[in-house]
Formats: sequence, C-alpha cells, structure tokens
Amino acid sequence: MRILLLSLIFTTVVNAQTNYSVSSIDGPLKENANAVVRLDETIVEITAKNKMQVTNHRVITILKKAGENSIKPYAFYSPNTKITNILALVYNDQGEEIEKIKKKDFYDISAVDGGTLYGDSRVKVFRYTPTSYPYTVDFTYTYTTPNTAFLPRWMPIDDYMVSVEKSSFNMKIIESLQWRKKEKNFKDYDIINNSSKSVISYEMNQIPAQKKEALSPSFYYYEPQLMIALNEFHLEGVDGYAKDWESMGNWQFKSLLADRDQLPEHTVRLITEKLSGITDREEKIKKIYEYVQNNTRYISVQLGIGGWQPIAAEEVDRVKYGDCKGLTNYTKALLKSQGIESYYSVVHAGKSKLGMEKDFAIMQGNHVILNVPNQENDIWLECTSQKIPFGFLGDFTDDRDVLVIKPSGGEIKHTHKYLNDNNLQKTVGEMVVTDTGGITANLEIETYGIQYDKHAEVLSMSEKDKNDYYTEYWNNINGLSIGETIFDHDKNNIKLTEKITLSAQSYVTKMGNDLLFKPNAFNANKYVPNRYSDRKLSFEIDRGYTDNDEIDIKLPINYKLGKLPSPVIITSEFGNYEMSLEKISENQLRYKRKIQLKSGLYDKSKYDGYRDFRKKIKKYDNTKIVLSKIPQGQPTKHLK
Amino acid sequence: MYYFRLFTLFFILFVHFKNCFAQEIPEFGTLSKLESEFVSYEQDPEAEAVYLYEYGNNYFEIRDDYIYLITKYHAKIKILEKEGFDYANIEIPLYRSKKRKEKIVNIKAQTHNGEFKHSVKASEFFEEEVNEKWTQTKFTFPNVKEGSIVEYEYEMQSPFFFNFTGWEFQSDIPKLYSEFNAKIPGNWLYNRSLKGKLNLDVNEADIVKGCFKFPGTKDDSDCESLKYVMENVPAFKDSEAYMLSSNNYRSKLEFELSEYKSFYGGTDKYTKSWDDVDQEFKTDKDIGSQLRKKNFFEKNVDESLLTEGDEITRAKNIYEFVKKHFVWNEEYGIWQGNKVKKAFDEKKGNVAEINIALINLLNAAGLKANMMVMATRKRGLPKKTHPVMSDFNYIVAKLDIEGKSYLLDATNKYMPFGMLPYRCLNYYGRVMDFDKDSYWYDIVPENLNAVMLRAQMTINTTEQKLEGIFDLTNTGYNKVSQDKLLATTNEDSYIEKLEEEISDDFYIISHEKRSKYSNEKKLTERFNFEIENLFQGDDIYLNPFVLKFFDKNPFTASERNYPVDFGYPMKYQYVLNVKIPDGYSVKSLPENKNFVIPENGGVLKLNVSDNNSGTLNLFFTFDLNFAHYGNAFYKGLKELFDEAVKSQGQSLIVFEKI
Repeated sequence: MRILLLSLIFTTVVNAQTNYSVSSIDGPLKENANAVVRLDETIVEITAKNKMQVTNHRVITILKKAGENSIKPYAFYSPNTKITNILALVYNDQGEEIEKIKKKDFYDISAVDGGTLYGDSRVKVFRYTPTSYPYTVDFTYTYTTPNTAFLPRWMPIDDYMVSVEKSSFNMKIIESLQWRKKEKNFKDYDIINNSSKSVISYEMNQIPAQKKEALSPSFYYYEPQLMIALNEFHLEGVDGYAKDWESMGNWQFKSLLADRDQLPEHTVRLITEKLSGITDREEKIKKIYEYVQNNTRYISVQLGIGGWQPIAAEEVDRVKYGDCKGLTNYTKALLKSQGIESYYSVVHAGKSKLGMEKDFAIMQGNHVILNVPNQENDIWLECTSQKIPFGFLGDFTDDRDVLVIKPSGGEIKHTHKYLNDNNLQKTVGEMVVTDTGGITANLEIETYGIQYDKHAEVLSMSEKDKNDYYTEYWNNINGLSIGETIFDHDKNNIKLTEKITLSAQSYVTKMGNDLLFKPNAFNANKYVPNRYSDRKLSFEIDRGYTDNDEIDIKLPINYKLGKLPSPVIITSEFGNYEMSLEKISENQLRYKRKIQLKSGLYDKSKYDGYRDFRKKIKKYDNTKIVLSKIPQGQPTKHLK
Repeated sequence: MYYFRLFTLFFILFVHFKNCFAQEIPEFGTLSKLESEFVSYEQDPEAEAVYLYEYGNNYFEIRDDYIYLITKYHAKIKILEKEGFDYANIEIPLYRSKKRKEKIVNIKAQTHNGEFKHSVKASEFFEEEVNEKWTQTKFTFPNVKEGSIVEYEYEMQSPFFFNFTGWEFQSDIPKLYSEFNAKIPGNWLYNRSLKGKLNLDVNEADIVKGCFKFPGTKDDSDCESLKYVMENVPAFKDSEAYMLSSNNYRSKLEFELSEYKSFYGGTDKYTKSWDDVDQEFKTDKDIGSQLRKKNFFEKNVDESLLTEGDEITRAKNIYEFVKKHFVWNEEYGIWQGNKVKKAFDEKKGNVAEINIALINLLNAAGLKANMMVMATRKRGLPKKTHPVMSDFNYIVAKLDIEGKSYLLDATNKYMPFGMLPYRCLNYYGRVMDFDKDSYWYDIVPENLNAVMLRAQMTINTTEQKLEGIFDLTNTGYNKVSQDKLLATTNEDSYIEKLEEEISDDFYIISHEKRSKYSNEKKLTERFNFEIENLFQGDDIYLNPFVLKFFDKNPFTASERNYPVDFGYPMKYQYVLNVKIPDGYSVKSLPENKNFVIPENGGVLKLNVSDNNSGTLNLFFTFDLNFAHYGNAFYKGLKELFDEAVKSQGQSLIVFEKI
C-alpha cells in the first residue's frame, strides 16, 4: 500500500499532462493577479539522516510583466548539494510548449552576496524573454543533499498580486528517524491534510491574489507555514541532535563552538593590560568591545560548515577579520579570557522583526550577536560594526526572540526594544527671515534610539555626500545651501547632536507687498498613507517615534504679523500632535511642535482613522503665515 | 555644438635609439622613506585611501612552447580611514576561453603596520568562477587598520594578446605614482591613445634591438619599449546627474591590437584603417553576411509590406512591422554570433539582430538603408582618429530617402520613426556603406521634446471648490515615456497615482486621450478635475501650478566636474486662464519673471496678466535649448532650475472677498 502511494506522488511530476492554457484559470484567480501559480509542488524524500532528495515543481502563468518577479527561475547548489535534474518549459497562452530550457542553457553563477569575499554557494538561473503575454513557465529541478538540518518549508501563499491554483507538499521520512512538525497560522485557511502514517502531505487550492497595502505587517506574521524538523540530522559533515531549543543549543555549542575560543597568550596579556585598573564589570566589557571594534573588520568567507561554524578565535586574532560568527566568537573569547561569560546568539536580522519560533526548535536565523548576561539588564553586542555604540542594536536586530547558546543548552531570549519615546528627535534653533525672502538658520538636531541610528550615517559621509544628504533631508527648501556642520557624537549616552547652519535665498513667497511662509521649515511631514476603498489587511506602526521641534523665528523689520493660527492639539490612539505659534515680540515668533507616533498593530477598521490623523498632521505641519509690509513713514500703531 | 576635451596623444614609433638601463625597481616588501612616513594626502583630505605606488610591466615571453603576454603588477595602498578598508579587498579578473585561460603564476601580498608585516597565506587566495568567460582571484589583507599599507604583487600570464588593453592611471582614490611599462616585439602592433585631461610626467618610447627570440627564426626581433608615468593623479569623481560616460573623462591609456605578424610568416590584421574595417565587415559572418538575407525576408513577409506605397510609406510600414514583430531581449550583442533568421522566427533578438532584420527589409523594399555602428552613452564616445572596434557596442539603421536621412532603431515599441532611444544619443556613429567607403555621421536628437499644459479654471464659490480642465501634451521623448506609462499601467492606478502626486485635495473627474490632437510624436490627454480646500477665511489661495513639471533641482552641488548632457533639448510650457470669481477681487499675483542664460541656452518666463476682462492669464515657459552644456554654463543652469522650482512651488494667486 505504501509503495503504491509513493509512486503515485512521484509520477505526478513526470506525467503532469495538465492543461496549462490560460483559459482554464478560474476567473477569481485572475483578479488583482499579475501571475497565477498553477502548481507549486514540493516533494521530499529523506532516506537517512544525511540523505535527502528534494524536487521542486513550479508552474506559473505570467499575466503581465509585473508578474515576472514571481517566476523564481533559480536553483541553488554547493559542493555537497547537487542538482541532479533541472528543466524549464515555456507554454503559450494556449498551453502549447514553445520553448525548452535544458540544463546547459542555464547560467551558472556564484551565489554569494556582495559582503562576502568568497563562498562556495552557487546558483543556476535561466532567463526567458517573452514575446507575448500571458505565458506559462513550468520549472522543475531536483537536488540531493546530505544536509538535513534545514528541511524545506511549505508556504502556500506565494506573494502579493499572485494567486495560486494548487500548492502541495509531500515529505516522506524513513521510519527510523524521529521528526517534529509545526503548523503555523493554519486556522484561517482551507488547508487539506492528506498525511498518512508514512507521508506528510498537505495541499491548498484556489488562493486568490492579495493586493499590497501600505503599512501591512510582514507576510510572516499571518501566512500559513508548515515547518518540519528532524531530531537527528546532518550539516556539512557534522551530525546533530535537537528536539527542543535546549538540545539545539547544546548541539550547536558542542559541535560548532566548543574549543574555538582559544587565544594566543600575547593577546590575553594585551587585553589584561588594557583592563588593568578597571574594576567595573560593565566598563571592562565595553573596553573589550571597543578593542574588537578598533582592531577588526567584517570579511566573510563561507565554505562548507564554515557557513555555520565560526572561524577559530585564534585565527581571527591573527588576521583581524571575520564574519558575524567569527567576530562574535572572538569577542566572546576575549571576554572569557577576563573571566566574563557571554553567549553566542543566533538571530534573524533585518528591518522587519522576525523572531525564532519559541515553541519549535528549528535551524533559523541569518546573523549572530553576543549576549552578555548582566543581571536583569543583559548587554547585547553587535560585533560586526566598527561604529555602533556599545550595547546598541538598532533596527537590524532589535525587539525579537533570539537563540542564546549556552554550554548547558539553548535558550530563547528577547532583544532590546526601541519604541516610541526611545526614538526621540529634538530639533531646536533659530531661523531668521529676511525681507528679500530668504532665510538663514542655526539648528541643533538631537537624536536617540532608532532615529539616532538613521542620523548616525552622516558621521561617515564625505563632504559631498553630507551636502546631498541635507539637501535631501530638507528637500522642501529650494536652493538650500548648507554652511557649517558640527557633530557631537555621544557614544556613551547613544545620542547624536548635529549642529548645522544653513541658508536659502528664496524660502518665502512674495505676494505683492506681503510675505507668506511656512514656519515649520525643518520638519514638515508630507506623508499620508494611500487610500484604499476596501482595505483588507491590518496595519502596523513598527517602532513609533517622538519628534520635538522648537524654532525661534526672527522676522524682518517693517513687516507686521497677520493673525496667528491658534494652537493645535490632536490626540488619537495612534499618537498625539501639538503645534503652536507664539508671538514673543513684534519681530519674533516661537514655533513649537510635537509629534508622537505609537508603535502597534492596528485593525484594518482603524486605517481610515489613521489616515485622517496623518492628513491633519500634514495640514498643520504645512501651515503658512502672512507678514504684511508696514507702509513707510507711518508708525506701526496706526495700522490695524 | 558640444565641447569635449578628448585628448588623444600619438606616439611616434621611430624614435632615437639609446641604451636602456634598467631602472631601479623597488623590491616587494620594502617601503621607501616617503612611503613609510606618509600620513595624509594634502591635495585631497577626503581620500579614504591612496596609492603610494603602482607599477605595471607588460612583455612577451615563450613558456612551454607557447608565446604568452606577461603582466607584472605591483601596488602599495595606504589605508587612511575605516571607510577605505574596502581597498584592502582585491579582485583580479581573469579571462578564459573554452580551451585556454589566463593564469596568476605568482602572487604575494602583505600588510605593513609600522614595523610589523603580516602576510596573506597561500590558502587565503581564492579563485572564483564568475561565469563562462571570467574567473577572478580574490583575497583580502590581514590586520588592516587606519594607517596600514597594503602591498601586493603578482604575475599574470595570458594567451590572449588582444587582452593587452592598457593602463588605468586614474581610479576612485588618488595615486602618488603610477607607472606603466611595456616591451612589445615588432610582430605585434597596438593602436594606443591617452584619454582624459591629465598629462604624462614621463613619456619614453625606445627601440630595443633584438629583444625577443623566437625559436627557429634567424633574427631576433626588435622591441618597442615604453614607459609612461603619472604622478599625483587625483581621484576620479564620478556620478553627477546628466553626464555622458565617465569613460570619456577618466585618464587612462588604451591599447588595441591592430596587427600580428606571425613568426612563421603571414599577418593577422585586427584593426588598422577604416578601409580594412570596411573590407572585413563585408565578409564578416556575424554582420556582413547577416545583412544579405534579403531573400529570406522577402519570402517571410507579406509582399505588400515591401511594395505598397511610396518610399517613405514603405519605410514607415516596415519600421512599424519590425517593432511589432520583435521583442528585444535587452542585449546589444553586436560582435557575437548574430542569427537574424533565427531571431526572426523566434520573434525576439538582440539589438544587432533586430536592426539588421530592419535593414534587410528596407533593402528588400528597394530602399537605401545602411548599418551604422555606434556606442551607447554609457559606453563612451568612439575614437575618431582610428578605428577601435571595441569602442562600438550598438547598431542602428541609416535610411536615405530623397535626400533626407533617418536613423532607426526598432527595439523600442514606443519609439516614433526617426528617433533613437535615449541610450543612443551619443553624438555620432560610423555608417558602413558597402558600396562606398564608410563615413562618420552625426546623431541629431529630436528637437521638440516638450511637456505642455493648457488649463482653464473656474472657482465655484458656493460649493467652495475649483473646477477645471487641463490638456496635457507631451511631444518627442516625453511622448515616448508617456506612451510607455499609459501602456503599462491601468487607467485606475494611473489616475490614482497622479492624484496622489498632485495633492490630497485634488480629484480627477475624467480622463481621455485626444487622438484628434495627437500624432506620432505628440500625445494630448484631457483631464477634468476639481480642487478642494482653497478657501482660507475670506481669501482664496491658489497655486496656479496644479501639476508641477518637477519639484526638485537636479543640480545641488556648488561645483560641477563634467559637462551637463541631457541628450536632447527640452521645453516646459504652461498656459492658464482662470476666471476671477464673482464677488472677489485679485489681492495678489505672482511676480513676473524673465531669465535667460548665455547664448540663449536656457529661458524662463513667467507672466501673469489681469486684463480686466474678468479672467487672469498665466504664461510660463522653461526652455533648455541645448542638449549639452559645457561647465561654464553650470552656474546659470543651476540658478535657472532654482527659479523654475520656485516658480512652480511658490507662485500664488490670492483672491479676496469684495
């Protein structure tokens, strides 16, 4: 019985004489769709803990050019992961074959990213120039690999603007191997589970395309996902065992990290000297971190197990470079040499906060940072940057679950959050409006948290880039000319102060004898999220922030202020906004503004409310005031 | 019309004979006093790193019965800032064919930190396969910090004599000293030229007698020995908006193999004179013979396409046919395996295939069409002094009808007859006329490339909104991009995007194309629109520039390194009539403006008039009359753009209640 079933599954790939004409696609699947995935089939067979064969079969109809990004015309391989079979067929809109792309027609290129000096990962890619739309690409490839630490996942929803006719997943694991699975976000979807004792088998059909909507949370939070993991597995010559995070950490520590933290004696001596006289533990950690920052740089070489195992600390010590694993492990070794314990921690880095699956141990992550236990207030160190302040993570690794690897085993911990008021920007200064319509200004911008992170880029810019940066930052000011820039980088308090002088010859609009201008020259919000007649997805303010502005405005003499707008206070569940203009003297105004945006995930029904909030902010941020010329020869008081 | 400074130096081959003493060449691993004491580069305090020394030597040698071109390279780079650490990561590209390949036979690298030296180990040099034709040797230096000097030296042996392409004096960091040497036996002839503005500090060419011995030949060959040096070479600053290829400006020495006299007798000519090139083209399999597939095309298209109508009608029909028939695969591919027939059958091909098909069809229709070879803007201008085939990377058709000439490229579906894509607006090409000699021909861009707006507005005071119509006309290159935009976006998202761009208070009520007012090079669209929220108290504030042509000045830098080249002249025009609402009077109007830059190169006019007929008239024009502006124009151009941005952003018409 089992044999029969299996052979049924495997023959579908070969004999799929399905009709791929465009006319056979159901109407609803064409709505909002740039492409329709006709079939996305994954067939996996694991016959030993170090033997897996995977066949991916993807048939996709491209309705228009924008759908071409979804073809996924590539297959990765490496010295141990071998492509045994690869073929792409192209059909016209009638479903007739018009082109065959064989193995030799694929481009074969290095698959390492720009930040890597050398790696052994490669990719086969094909390219097809369509002569008309729609057309269908039928792409199949099979690879074999000894690496079973990562198993293919099933994610039936494809992408925005892509619908799916059928997505299926079949995995057969030899009985002697124990495995675990996690069904994530399955409950809102029609997923068919065909699994039997011997085969894990799922499918999902007729998934309509979803339009992309501004501010929607990452796909990852709501898409259905099937994850499977073996308890006993293999990775580039190394056997592994994990049934939960504890054993996962335990294996990684023993097999990938242990004994890789030896250091030459002279380095230990050097560090000890550097720390002599320092008694504060945190101060010691900081000194060591700064030593790493000042003496190493990021260079990545990824070969075989080297993709997961750090190069030895001794080796990093010799060449003074390494990748995230090597530099983190090196920092860990230096700390250890001074009796300070720290833990190598695997994280999924990136602007969107993807965490480790808390209840399902699986090889995950793309980056490594260092965790230094510090009572209730752990220190997290990003060891690949020569610039980032001690203990600061930024939006690359903040606020997410990471795997902390201790000798005793793994543990999931959560990194620092930078939310709302943490991400503060203060802009204070003075702006002088001249009677020729120009302005000059002295400003100080102080930033903290994620806003600090963004602004700190300016520290390493050339004069030209700096000039371009500020011209873009204040692109509302035409003809802007930047004078002096002075930066005060307070790394201890993680705060940047930019002191800037600037001028613009024609900021003010002349209306006959009157002058019209926006008092908010330096931080006027123009962003209003798109409108949707029928929003489908919830929305997210990912980190939130606070901006405080206070600008003293000096007005030209011989001009009289018109009526000032009344102060504005808006409170909403998304945040608050305040703006006021205060007359200090006949020729001086004080502009104050505060905006607070609150991080959170909000229901789609609130979207219009949020849009309204942003529209109001835009309106009040761009408030204009009028100055009227005092006719000469007459004293001011005689005017109205 | 345009002002390039393309300096081309010719080297005199027959120079005086003199004994050539080998000069002292610094040994690997040693630093001169100047080098070890070097702290910063005063001429360019921003430099992240600087070449203290760079040396190259090229010569020919017999190894294992094969002649190889040997390149020796030695460099020392001072890392001045952390941002310069990337200069410690080295990539050496190596070419390969199916049978033979370039090889690094000897390589050494080390970091100097004061007295300390740290070597790169043999296992730390990697060889990466990039694609079928290229591999590269990659490595990085150990122990790099601010102040480190990284030094490397290698020897490369190449079986490809054509890969001796020259020497880049200028790079994106400065060089204190850069020296190029070559010893070339008389059997090889290379064309050479020096590009860029910088001059050589050493320029020596000598003849060395009997310097190359080929086994089995009686006499040793004489060599030409060359030494060129530049000192204090500034960094090459790239990336300015609207510039021609940086290849036109970067200082480098270019070599191209022109002739090889075999030691067994016989001569392989590569490029020499245009006469030779013309001969080669006629017989060339890739191009020449592809141009003679008239019969194939006659058989495969409707006869009517080739015979019906007068000459210009036939030409236009054929151009439309080819544009429609082919999909361009985004490759140029002029020098490799073009198969016009196959491309025609598959309905897709590269630039050469599509345009050669076009030429064939034009010829089949009895029209005089020739191939013009040229270079894209990105590639740089081809040298005019002598043929350098690698300068060319593009083919278009030159058609002559009744004394008028047209340049055609059928790869872009939206391109009107007689216009070339923007990438081709690179001044000139060489027309290969197989009946006569080839000749240079200028590419003259379309002259009228305009965005023109005509608007009428009425303010509805009871409903507190403005109602209006605007006609948007795009011509020339602006029409091409507008056509493409309309063809690739659906109506709803087009309108939505436009509304968003303009403002929150702007609503488009209807939109139509006005075919009556459109032609091949001109497209008019009409919009009915409404604007809300114009009322502020008793006053009405109206920025008459509802639709802005652009809202930023592309020129922000105070200085400009290279000429500005837009590719073609441009014009923006706005004509508006707005009715003064009943019960209101005009409170203020935008100031009139009139600016002109030298030689009438650019004009800006803004004129608002109230001629007491109850209607205000606004006229705005912003004209850039040249495609190319030399550096002397930069300041004026920048100011003109500032004024244009200001006019659009800050003009206000204010009405007040009577």
